[in-house]
Amino acid sequence: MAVRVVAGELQPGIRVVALSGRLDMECAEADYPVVRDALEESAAGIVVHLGAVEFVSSSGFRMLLTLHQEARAAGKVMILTRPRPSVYKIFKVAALDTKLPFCEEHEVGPIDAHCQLSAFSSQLSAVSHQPSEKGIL
Amino acid sequence: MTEATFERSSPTRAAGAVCQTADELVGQAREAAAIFTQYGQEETDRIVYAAAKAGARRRVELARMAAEETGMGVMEDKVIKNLFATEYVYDDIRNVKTVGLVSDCPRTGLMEYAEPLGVVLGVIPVTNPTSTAMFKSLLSLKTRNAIVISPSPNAARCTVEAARTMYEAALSAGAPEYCIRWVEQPSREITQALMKHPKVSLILATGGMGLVQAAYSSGTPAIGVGPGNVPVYIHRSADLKRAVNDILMSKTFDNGMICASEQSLVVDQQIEQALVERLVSQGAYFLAPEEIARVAAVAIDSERDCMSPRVVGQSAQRIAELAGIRVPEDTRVLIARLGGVGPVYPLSREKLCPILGFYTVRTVAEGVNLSSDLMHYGGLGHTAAIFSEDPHAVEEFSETINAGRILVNSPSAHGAIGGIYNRIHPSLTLGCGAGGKNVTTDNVTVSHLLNLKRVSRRMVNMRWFRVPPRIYFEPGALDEFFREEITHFGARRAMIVCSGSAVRLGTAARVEAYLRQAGIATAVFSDVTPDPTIDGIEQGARAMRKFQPDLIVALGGGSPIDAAKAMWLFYEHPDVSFDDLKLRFMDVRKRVVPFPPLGKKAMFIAIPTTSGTGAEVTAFSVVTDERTGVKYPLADYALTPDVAIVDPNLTLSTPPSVTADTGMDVLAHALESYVSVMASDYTDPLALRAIQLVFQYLPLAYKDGASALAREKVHNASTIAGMAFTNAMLGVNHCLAHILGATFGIPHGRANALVMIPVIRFNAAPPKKFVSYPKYEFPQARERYAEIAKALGLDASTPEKGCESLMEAVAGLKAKLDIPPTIREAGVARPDFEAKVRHLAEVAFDDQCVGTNPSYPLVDDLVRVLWEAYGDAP
Repeated sequence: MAVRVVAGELQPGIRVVALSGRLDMECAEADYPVVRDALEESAAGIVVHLGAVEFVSSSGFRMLLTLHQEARAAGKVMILTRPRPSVYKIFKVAALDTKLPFCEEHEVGPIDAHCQLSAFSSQLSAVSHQPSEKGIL
Repeated sequence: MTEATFERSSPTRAAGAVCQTADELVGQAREAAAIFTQYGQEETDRIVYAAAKAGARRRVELARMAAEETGMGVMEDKVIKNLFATEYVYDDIRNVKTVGLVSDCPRTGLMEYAEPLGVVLGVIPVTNPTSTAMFKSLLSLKTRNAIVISPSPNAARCTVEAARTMYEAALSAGAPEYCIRWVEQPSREITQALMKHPKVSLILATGGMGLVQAAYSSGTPAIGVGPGNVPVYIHRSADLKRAVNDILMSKTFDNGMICASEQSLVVDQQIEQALVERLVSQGAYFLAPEEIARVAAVAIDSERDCMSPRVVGQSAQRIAELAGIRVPEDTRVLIARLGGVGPVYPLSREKLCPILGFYTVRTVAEGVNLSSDLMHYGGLGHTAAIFSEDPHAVEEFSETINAGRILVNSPSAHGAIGGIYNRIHPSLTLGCGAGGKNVTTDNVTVSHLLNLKRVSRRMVNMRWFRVPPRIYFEPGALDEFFREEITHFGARRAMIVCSGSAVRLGTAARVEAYLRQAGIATAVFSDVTPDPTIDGIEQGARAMRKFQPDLIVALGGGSPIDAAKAMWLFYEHPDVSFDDLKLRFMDVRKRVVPFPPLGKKAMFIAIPTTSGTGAEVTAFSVVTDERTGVKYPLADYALTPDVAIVDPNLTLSTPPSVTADTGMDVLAHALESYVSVMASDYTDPLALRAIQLVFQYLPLAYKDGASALAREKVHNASTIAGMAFTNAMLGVNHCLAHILGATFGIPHGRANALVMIPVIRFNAAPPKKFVSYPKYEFPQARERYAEIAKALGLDASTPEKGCESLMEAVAGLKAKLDIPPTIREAGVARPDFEAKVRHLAEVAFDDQCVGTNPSYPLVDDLVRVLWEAYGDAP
């Protein structure tokens, strides 16, 4: 299954990316630049929705860790929404849940809704969702 | 991946590079293990298939590498080992479910889910460096674990190559990256760092005792398999040609490097000569005494008290050469006759080379004992073998020898690893049980590398409704039964058990006359007292043993019927113990002391002459221990009578007070069975009907004992309440009544009446402690009492109101029957009551009937109930 990347701006400075399908080597290589661009183009960081991810390989791990490192290096944030239990479990088994910041999807709002952030409002002031200029939807 | 470096406890951090390597390997493997959890069975099986195929393909190359690198063993035999580790092991595990739901049993309600452990550390021995690496890799792949292979420093190259072979094949079949890792430059330090690594889930350690102990000491769960010292007992009945063939084939296989290979022959003296001749003819060389010493000197390191690595996996000729002795060119094994077992006889220990110890014994016992000595000299729990056609010898050997595998008429090396000569799981890691300080005696396989999660559905045990197969009722039923029916039962000798009153009233004589008319010899035991005692029961049972009845007729109130049931039990089973049978139980089907079946000697007819206990249809018999005054219910469906005759005419002469008291006992039975946690659709209608009949007809039966209608209805109520409570059981009301009656001499039914209202109030309140009974899904006593009130036509507009109405109705009934409202008014003095109330509560708490009460009482609760029943504040 191909990865679907959706990017939009949840609020000024915060971009939204949604990943789906298998996050394996092939897809990670293909989609890393898109997500990285979203991060780079954002002023404050990105929220990565993982709710539709079905499988994560080591390449997928690496992509997320690399992006997280890049966000930190740029003084930005990268927040992941918790994936389905079978996928979230592997982050726990690999102890990556302590290295990557996870939140519940309702805390940042569903990807397709024009919603407001709640739990991370200190970092991300709430504004409405707007499609990005690139329109990667 | 730097981010994936895992934190570890600090003590090992100082080990620097070693720890860094361990961190890196385990970190990679852990990531792979995490990703592996997402794989399904089909994907997993495809990976295992690919790995097994790759290993089998490279069997020769890897065997050659192992032989060249280690300088041990026989290359051609290592080929077989490699093939075994892939083909046999794969065949054994290929169809095993190791992913997700692996079993689902509707009968037990249990589902089992297989879950991987995480990271497995595979410690590989120098003796089997490629086959064991492939074996452990296959098991790990099949179970979706990642494995880190730690080779022996003397076999690193070939072990790594074997691991790489499996890994590359697995990877190409879609396995997660790093699912197999290995130590490129092995050392003791790195092995120990890996063993202690907090992210390693399990160590599979195969090797010497030191290594295995290190694994166990690491704090990480471990399956460690150490040395063996395999004795082979050759019984006089053995097929010698086959035995010699098997022993030499096994002992020379890879020059004896399998730890399950034969170490010493224990030979029956009667066949010694023939066996020796056969051994010699097949290439065995018996060492002369001075040669034994020389071979021992090179084979055993006396300073370290262990086998010398110089001889491990070497040929017989090479060992002879090292020892400086000459042996024939075709020598396959060296055999040393030994005088005993222990350090004085160095060759009596494990020798992973073609050297065998040799002993002669005269008897099976001697052979088993000597084999036991050998096992205890460094091989406990591992493997033993016996050649015998005599099953008794095999049995004696097997019962005694402490070995995880006992091979019968088989080569021990090939037999122990399984699959070739037997149906043991093919494995290169052989558990040695507690004897070898292992957690298992199994041949290690995939099941040992899985966490099995057991998901248990709520289950309700089958229940029952058991009553006598025949119940005869209506006025005059007694006469009609004995005139018309008794001859169909085939009885020849009947004993009537009754009280003196049945004799005085002539009822016993009437029954006796009917029996005689039917050609049945009779005897009467009429010494039954109220509240029958153990001694009284024993007297009756003795009378029965003397008379040998095939029919017992119990005639009377509760006491004679209860007594007759107990006599029946001790008549048919004189050896059973009352103390054992009175033992309290939670589930009649699971009681510690099983109740013996009844009815082999005699059948049982119960004829109640009062309307109270329902004993004619119940599975109970209440017996009083005269030493303590405590009443014990014997309870088992074996005690259910075969026939009940419910003839209300027999109750016409019951005095009013007895009518009142026994009638309240009926009410208690019905109320308690209706609110019992075991109440069912089968018992509810009976209990409700009995309650209605009691409220409607008991006052009339009390007031006008001659009322045939009232007597009939109350008598029927007694029996149908009995049918209800023998299946739904009773509760706290009876617990309290049993001890209250016994302590203060209050009739049983009246004691029940005295505590009835406080018990209803206690049960109807929200329970402090819940009762564990699967079918009783939530507290419901209050609503159940309200249902009763409604059935009686009382105000039950709310559950609370229903309970109040019912309690008022009970109070009203008691008043109509002239039953005192309280224990105080029943004549128990306050000081006496106060002194005993705690004891009463404690005894009541331990009563058999507590378990089915809808609210599990604390002793303090029972004290409060008793004080309320007393009618005074404490």
